[in-house]
Amino acid sequence: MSDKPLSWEDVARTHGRKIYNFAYRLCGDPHDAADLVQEVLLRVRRGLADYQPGSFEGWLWRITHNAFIDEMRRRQRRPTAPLPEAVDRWDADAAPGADEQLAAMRLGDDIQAALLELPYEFREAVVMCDVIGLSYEEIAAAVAVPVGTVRSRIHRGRRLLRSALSQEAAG
Amino acid sequence: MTHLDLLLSVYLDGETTPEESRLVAEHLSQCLRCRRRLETLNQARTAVRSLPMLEMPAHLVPATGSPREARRWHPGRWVAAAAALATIVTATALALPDPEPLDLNDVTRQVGARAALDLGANSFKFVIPGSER
Repeated sequence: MSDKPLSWEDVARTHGRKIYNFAYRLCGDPHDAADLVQEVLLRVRRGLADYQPGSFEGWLWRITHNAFIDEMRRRQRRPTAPLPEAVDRWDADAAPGADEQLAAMRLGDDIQAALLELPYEFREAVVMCDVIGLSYEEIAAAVAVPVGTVRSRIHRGRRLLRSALSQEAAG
Repeated sequence: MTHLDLLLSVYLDGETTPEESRLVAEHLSQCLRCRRRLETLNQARTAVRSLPMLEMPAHLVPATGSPREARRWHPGRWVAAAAALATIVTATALALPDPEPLDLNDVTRQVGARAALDLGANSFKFVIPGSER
């Protein structure tokens, strides 16, 4: 970061697209994603005066995470379903043939649909890692959990995602 | 053989410690099952990474001004605006002078009419020049 004070407009221009993609991949709805971006930018605007130079990414993604959680609570849409039983099974172990089905890589819509099937914590960790490109440490700081938890969420999220994609390919 | 499930994703992301990396690499060289699992994890990872980065709607980044709070629906603001409008109307009405009592002479002078007593109807009437037949 330069010495020039950061404005919310700077944040919108440099990070808005990532925030939008994060929100869209988490909720699958462009209007909800746009609402979340606005909410994050408002919080950034309010918070910039108190922002202490440091990990700006960590600060911004913590705001984004909190805004999303608050929004989900407000709408009472937060997934509360227990994890599926299949989470600890490896259905692809004995079925390398399914790999060929996946090799014809599915359209973005299928992947998005599979993402939305993941429990929220897994989905968020996977999106932060594979869509936004945050490191495990940055994700841990944003979500306020230990790095070991991030490791577990990403790993289990990918396994579930792979399972969901296989089912879609088979269906 | 102890498998290293949890470390496989971490290994894919290059987030393992040097010691963990050595352990995973060594294990993978001997374990077909973990190599397959690594591949399936990599497919999921690649799938998500293949998603296109969408453009943010342009209206979300105004050139100047503040974040578009006004675009959101805030019922409280409308209530406040209605209350403010009512206050302005009331204050204006109170500030205006009371209307002067009607003076027939002033009226007839201003409109060029004359007042006449209509004995038949037992009342006054205004007569505008030229309108009499």
